[in-house]
Amino acid sequence: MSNQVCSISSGKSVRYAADLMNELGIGSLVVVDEGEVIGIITSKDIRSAHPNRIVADAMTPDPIAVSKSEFIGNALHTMEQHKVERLIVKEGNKVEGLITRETLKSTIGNYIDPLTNLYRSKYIEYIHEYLVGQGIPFYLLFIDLNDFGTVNKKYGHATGDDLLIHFSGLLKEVAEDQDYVCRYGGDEFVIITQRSHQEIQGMIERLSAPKTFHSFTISAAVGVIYGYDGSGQPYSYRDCISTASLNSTETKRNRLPSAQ
Amino acid sequence: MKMTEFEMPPMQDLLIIGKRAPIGPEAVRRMAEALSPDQFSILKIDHPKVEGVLIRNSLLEMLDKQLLLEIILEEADRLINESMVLRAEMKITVSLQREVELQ
Repeated sequence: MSNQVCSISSGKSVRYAADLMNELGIGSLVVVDEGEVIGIITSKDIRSAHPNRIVADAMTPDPIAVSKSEFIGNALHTMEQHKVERLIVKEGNKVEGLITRETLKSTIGNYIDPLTNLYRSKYIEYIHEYLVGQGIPFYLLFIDLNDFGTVNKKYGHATGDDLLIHFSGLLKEVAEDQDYVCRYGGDEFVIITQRSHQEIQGMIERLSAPKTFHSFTISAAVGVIYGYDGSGQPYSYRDCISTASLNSTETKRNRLPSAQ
Repeated sequence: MKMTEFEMPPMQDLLIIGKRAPIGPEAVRRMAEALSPDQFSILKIDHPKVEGVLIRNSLLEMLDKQLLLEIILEEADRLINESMVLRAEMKITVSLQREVELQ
């Protein structure tokens, strides 16, 4: 976010706001009257308003604010939901900064795996921290493709990549809006979901079922862990991954080989 | 030099504010409130050319808001463009006709 928050009162002219923005080299000003944030005026608002108008007649009233501790994915979702380009970042009632859609998208873009378009593991770790911080219940699913090495050796890495892309598509189909899917590394994937234990059984069955890809059959082993122990204490991200991956390895041992 | 008396308030019964006028509805509301407190209301509207109408409260007490707006916009639409602010006078006359029985 941008920590430079400059404000203007609603009675100033649009011309004054434009000059101030140019002088400071910024694209928006927070509109504050008597210590209360009442709007936000952006360069776009200025371009479409007569310079003689007052800021109150050119601003976007009642700007949407997010908490400083808000998860960036939620902030972007809020922006898209309200069709706005900027959000005010608050810590309690104090305005701390501004965040633009462009900044959010580029930040999230750094966490996207270019091959599968899924999140990278760092992003999922961040989500884990966020959910734990908020005390939100969740399950972590560790999904490991069976015999992926064999596919690479037998059919080549390009086919292996195609398989990863294809499987990522399945993961996206299985996931809902509140689920977070990432490529953990190689042929391993992680889903963090807030769905109930009963609901995730369907996901696990669907992901574990053998699937035909090109001329061979492929399946996946899924390990699951609930994010909190019996006393309600959260497991660390490392422990979640470790336990869920061990569970998926256990599942692997109890199956017949595929990719034939 | 030309001297004339400054009318108070400078608006009559209505101000019709174009979408790209040099003064917007909120500024007009503040001006009216400063010059004639509690006598005017601003109505923001969704219209291709008009952004808002400042209207004398007494008119709003006599006629339904929606009906008033329909009449105002129908008439203003022929004259106004987006960058204009029109001042208008509006008088409501009530005509009564009654039959009485003579004793």
